[in-house]
Amino acid sequence: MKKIVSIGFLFFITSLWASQPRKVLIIGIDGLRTDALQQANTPNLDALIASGFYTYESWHEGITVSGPSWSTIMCGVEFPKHGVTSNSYSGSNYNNYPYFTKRAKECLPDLYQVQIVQWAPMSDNVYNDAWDQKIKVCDGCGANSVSAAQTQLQNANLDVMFVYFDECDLTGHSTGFSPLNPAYINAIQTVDGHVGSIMNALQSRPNYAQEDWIVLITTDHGGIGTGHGGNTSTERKIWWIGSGNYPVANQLTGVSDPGSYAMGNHNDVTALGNPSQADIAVTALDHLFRGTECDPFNPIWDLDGQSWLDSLHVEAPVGISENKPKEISIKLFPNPTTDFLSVWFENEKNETIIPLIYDQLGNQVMDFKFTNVNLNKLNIDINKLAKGAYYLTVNIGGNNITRLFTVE
Amino acid sequence: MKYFKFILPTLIIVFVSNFILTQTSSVQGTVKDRRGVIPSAKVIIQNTEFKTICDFDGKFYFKGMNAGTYTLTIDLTGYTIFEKSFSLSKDENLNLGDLFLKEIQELNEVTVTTYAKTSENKALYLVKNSPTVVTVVSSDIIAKLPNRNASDVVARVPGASITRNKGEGSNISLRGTPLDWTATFLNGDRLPVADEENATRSFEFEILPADMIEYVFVSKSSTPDMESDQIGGSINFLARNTVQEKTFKLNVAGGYNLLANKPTGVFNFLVGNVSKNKKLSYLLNGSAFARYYSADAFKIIYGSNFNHSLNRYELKKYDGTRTNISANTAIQYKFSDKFKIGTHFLYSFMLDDKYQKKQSYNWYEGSGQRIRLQNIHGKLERQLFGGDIYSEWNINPSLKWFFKVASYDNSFRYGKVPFNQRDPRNGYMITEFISPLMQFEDQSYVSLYGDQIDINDPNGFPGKLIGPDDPYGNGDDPNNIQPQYSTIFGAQTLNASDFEFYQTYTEINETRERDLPVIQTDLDYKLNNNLKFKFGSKARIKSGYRNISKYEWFKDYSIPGNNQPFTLDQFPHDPYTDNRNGFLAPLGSNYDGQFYPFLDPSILSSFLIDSSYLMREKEMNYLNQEYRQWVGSTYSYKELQSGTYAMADYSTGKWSFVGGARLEYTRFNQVSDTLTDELAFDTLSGNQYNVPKSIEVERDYLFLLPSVNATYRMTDNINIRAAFSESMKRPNFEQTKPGFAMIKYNDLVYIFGNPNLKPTYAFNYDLAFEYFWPGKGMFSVVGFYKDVYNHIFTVTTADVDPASGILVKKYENASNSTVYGAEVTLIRKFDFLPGFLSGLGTNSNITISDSRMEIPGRPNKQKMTEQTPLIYNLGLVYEYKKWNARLALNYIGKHLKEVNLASLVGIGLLHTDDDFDTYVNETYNLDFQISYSWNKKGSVYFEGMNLLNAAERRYIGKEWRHLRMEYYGPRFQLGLRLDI
Repeated sequence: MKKIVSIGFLFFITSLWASQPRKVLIIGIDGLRTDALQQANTPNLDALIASGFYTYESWHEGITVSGPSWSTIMCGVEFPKHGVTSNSYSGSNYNNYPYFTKRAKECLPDLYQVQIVQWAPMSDNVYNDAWDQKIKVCDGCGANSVSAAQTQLQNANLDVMFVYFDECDLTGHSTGFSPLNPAYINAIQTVDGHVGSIMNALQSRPNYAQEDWIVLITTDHGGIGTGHGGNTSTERKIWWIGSGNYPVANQLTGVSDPGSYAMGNHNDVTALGNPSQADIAVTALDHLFRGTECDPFNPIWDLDGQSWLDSLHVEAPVGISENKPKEISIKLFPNPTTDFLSVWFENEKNETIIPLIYDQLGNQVMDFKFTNVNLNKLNIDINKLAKGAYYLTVNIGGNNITRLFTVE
Repeated sequence: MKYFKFILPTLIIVFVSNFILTQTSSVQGTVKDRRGVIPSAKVIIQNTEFKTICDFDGKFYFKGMNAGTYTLTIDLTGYTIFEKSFSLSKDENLNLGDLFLKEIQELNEVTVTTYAKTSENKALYLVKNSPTVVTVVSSDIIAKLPNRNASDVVARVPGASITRNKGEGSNISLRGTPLDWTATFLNGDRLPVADEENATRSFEFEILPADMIEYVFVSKSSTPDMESDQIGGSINFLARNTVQEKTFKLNVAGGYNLLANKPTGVFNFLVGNVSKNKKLSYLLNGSAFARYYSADAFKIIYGSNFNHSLNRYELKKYDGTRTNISANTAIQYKFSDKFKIGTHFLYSFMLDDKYQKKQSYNWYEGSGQRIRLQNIHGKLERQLFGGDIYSEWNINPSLKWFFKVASYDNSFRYGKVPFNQRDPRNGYMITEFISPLMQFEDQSYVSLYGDQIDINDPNGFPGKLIGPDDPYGNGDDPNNIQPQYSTIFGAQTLNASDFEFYQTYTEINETRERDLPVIQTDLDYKLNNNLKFKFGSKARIKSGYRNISKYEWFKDYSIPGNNQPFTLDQFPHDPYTDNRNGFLAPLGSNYDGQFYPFLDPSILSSFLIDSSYLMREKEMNYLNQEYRQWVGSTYSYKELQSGTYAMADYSTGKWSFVGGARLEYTRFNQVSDTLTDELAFDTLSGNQYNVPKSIEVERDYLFLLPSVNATYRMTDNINIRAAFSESMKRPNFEQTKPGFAMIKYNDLVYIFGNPNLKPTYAFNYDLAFEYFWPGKGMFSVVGFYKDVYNHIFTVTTADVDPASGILVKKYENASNSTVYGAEVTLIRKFDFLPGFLSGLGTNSNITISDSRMEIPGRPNKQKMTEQTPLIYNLGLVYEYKKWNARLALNYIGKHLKEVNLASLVGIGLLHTDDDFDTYVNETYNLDFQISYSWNKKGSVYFEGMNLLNAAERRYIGKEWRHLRMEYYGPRFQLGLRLDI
């Protein structure tokens, strides 16, 4: 909905900023379940969330498997068009529905575009993609991806980069995709560290201040048990973060689940304004093409995605930060819980947070200390609480918010 | 070393004193029957103190005798009493030469029976008169039993358990101890090992046919002259040696495997002769053996370390042909009575042409819920060859010198599949077709720990749980797991056109180990009739390697016009048919009609080769994204072993002692690769890679291993024995491997070697009581106790390798473990029964043991890994007139295989109980054999093996929670044996 805001004066701003080279970084994190992301301690992703436009409700509309999903993310069309339905990549139709990088290069032949992946099939099986470099690093080796990305980011001519991480998916497959699985949470935190390293390298570019980057981060699917590929909401509920040149800090919520495999007519889904995986490619194209004669929405391309560029990127040197006071929302994970509770909330102004726990009779039962205050989250050790129902009250900037939770 | 200081001077004094003391007369000879030497016969000089037991070559030697006239007596059951008078003058060294014993010809029995009986008795004499706790199996017993390879022979020995591979004996362990604790020798030499899957020092017997074997000596207490690596005991196979007279034997058999519905054939021959001057003797023994086998199996891969939900369920059907071709030769030349040289050479080749069809249900995987059809074909080639050259010099009757140089070479590789010539891409080939995306409908919504959880709770997941693991009581019967599913797109039933080609890959494996050379020398010195000494040493240089890799083919969809998959209906394919009683019939044939069509196995290679122009090939090398998983799977090594020993054998009156010490030195050097953190870039392929690097380690260790065996011959028929020994076991080369982990690709497991592993050593105590019924049998009870240090076991260490998601295991030393137990043996003919019943008898034994092991992080001591607490053999024998029959039940109890010590930072061990530990379940084998001998030269026999068709099973935590179950089906064989 946000994208409707201020379309009026955007054209005016564009001329001011057209001289800045527009660049895109996409970070793909395979198999990172939404609720696990919310629970894990991820300061680097949190920082991007805090400054970006993000959603936890980008429902996966296709097949919750890597091959089809990454194809959708990179092509901007759902699987009936790109043709990939499994990790064998059989039926692929990249000649008619290529990666967005192909479309970008067709119109802007000087673009320098690089992908760095770990999972070989998504490099080996994809063709007609116009990457200037397709770098493969060893599977599951996040540090290697970071190293390769750092090298590429030193190239002043770099315009588009896709960096992919496989650790979360591999760990999920071997031990379980679950926010309760410490191994999975560890893997998420490791990848978060990699994201931080890449963001540092990006911001250290000598001309960073003169460049106009957007960063898009997403996952291909969730997971359940030790797998994915199915129709459950934990497999299909995915997330993405878009971060542009100035802080936006908006969450897209309240998206209704269109249901999986409801692929009869994609344009219908898109028309609802729901965020989808196909939006990543379209948003990237939109950013690259803005201010050029290229049309990111060429009808011949038959794209399924939509652009969220105007929601995450501001075409003006000064923020339009006339934010209305928002309702503060908090979420608790897991609930019911056994030993700890993660509290997730919006705290844009970095205000003091005072959490209190009461039992059902209204007695304050815990004088706890928390060690882990992030911008948007804290973890509370509730090991000593007896089984039962409790109230958590969080005071943020003088506003009290209370939620019920259960200890098992 | 402190022992050595003491022993060496003592021995020197004794040795020197021998030359100072003056000698008087002596007498020597060799005890034989018409078939050859009789080992261990008791020889008595009447009316004197002189009595002795012949050595294994039938030789005896008395010295320090005064001049005079004597009578020598040999009284051996099954033979007529032998008496010979001789006179001895002063300082005479009389050689009586060969003394031939005459077999008793019982009036009512055919010679054949007696003939066999005496041979069994020979084995019993060896047991009775041995200075240590041994069991002996002779060639005649071997010939009578339905033995295919040498390990089957040992299956009936007390305390022996064999692991089977597709129904055939593979490894042997004694007293239920871990496999590597038992040393197996061929003609006294440990053989090199090159196994397909397991890096081990435990020889795999499929390649060694039973017909090559003359005697098997199973020793449970060691003497210093034996090679070490035998905490559990040792088994020495003596290959058929040269003969004393012209011999020709032929054995032809045909059989049938009911599960495979295919025939079996055996052909063995033996020719031997001796030259007229008796100086040159030789033997040539050949064997060819072909059989079909079949197995029905299933395998379960569980999902995680937190719950027991199923990740994958595989229905597997094996069909294969195994062919062995073997030859054994022995040649001996006797220059004189004092000096002889000889040689043995053995060649053995086995081809296992193996097909497998695997239908797997995947609840969880990266490609979504699918059914996979894997068609597998491999030609497994094993080759063993080698031999020795030896010389034996009887310098004088008191002093004997023996020298031997041996060398053996053992190798394994996958043969010519898919390419019909040698090609580095050849291997164990897997061709995989996958179903469209499926939706399983048989899952319960549970928590991460497999408990009930509210359906709306986002922390739950749908898990396929079996049996009592399902908290809602909806679990499938673990013996009848029935996946319930529907397709997501399209038709609700799947046809051949719905399955698309996913990939073909070969698993590549080249494994070879050589012992070149093995040099051995022994010096036997007999000080007097009571005291003998033996010194010697043996050195071996072992080298080997193992190269494990993978090669892949995918359809290349980037080729214009090639973007559609191959589907199964485009190629010759078979509806799955079962020409037998149904798949997994013992479990109720519950899967009939549930198999999908498979690609015709006969076109597996041509399918790949013909379509290769549409394929993308991928080699496993440093540029492959998965190379980290494979880099450590190739290694090479060199090892020097050297053992030196000194021992004494003292016997007086009713007592005999054998004791001494062995100094065992080992130095090994091993190389394997790992990936460094250094990154490099290959511009051609766009691959960034970690630069591989070889890691080399060199370690050495030294052990001084004392041992003493005491025997008290209470009466002629009762022995009481006590033994103490220290023994050691070298880690195998996978266990000490440097570099990155080995991959067990099919199990999705990594195993890290640990070059700093210490060798296992143990203090062994044995106490035995033996009672012999002359010519009729024996009864024995043996108690044992082993105090073990540095037992090597496999542990699951980290939850997963963060880089690949693969389960990580490694090898560890346990601090201290103990194993104790008892074994009881009864071999008895029921000759007290009347008439034809008197032919009945039994050959039975039982071994019971218990063990304790400390596991770091577990609150309690628990049973040791790989120690089997209960093993028994019940044998019913019938030998009467021309008939000979046996019924034998072999039972191996359940035992712990591996412990799950997965841990997480901040949590510690995930499992402090055994619910995630791996066990081998009990198994049993019933064999039956009957033969009819029309005269002593020929017999026909019929044998049935694996009659109960009990499964080989493994489970996790609970017996019903199967990991895999495999049925081989009974096999039957009809045969003809000729002895000319």
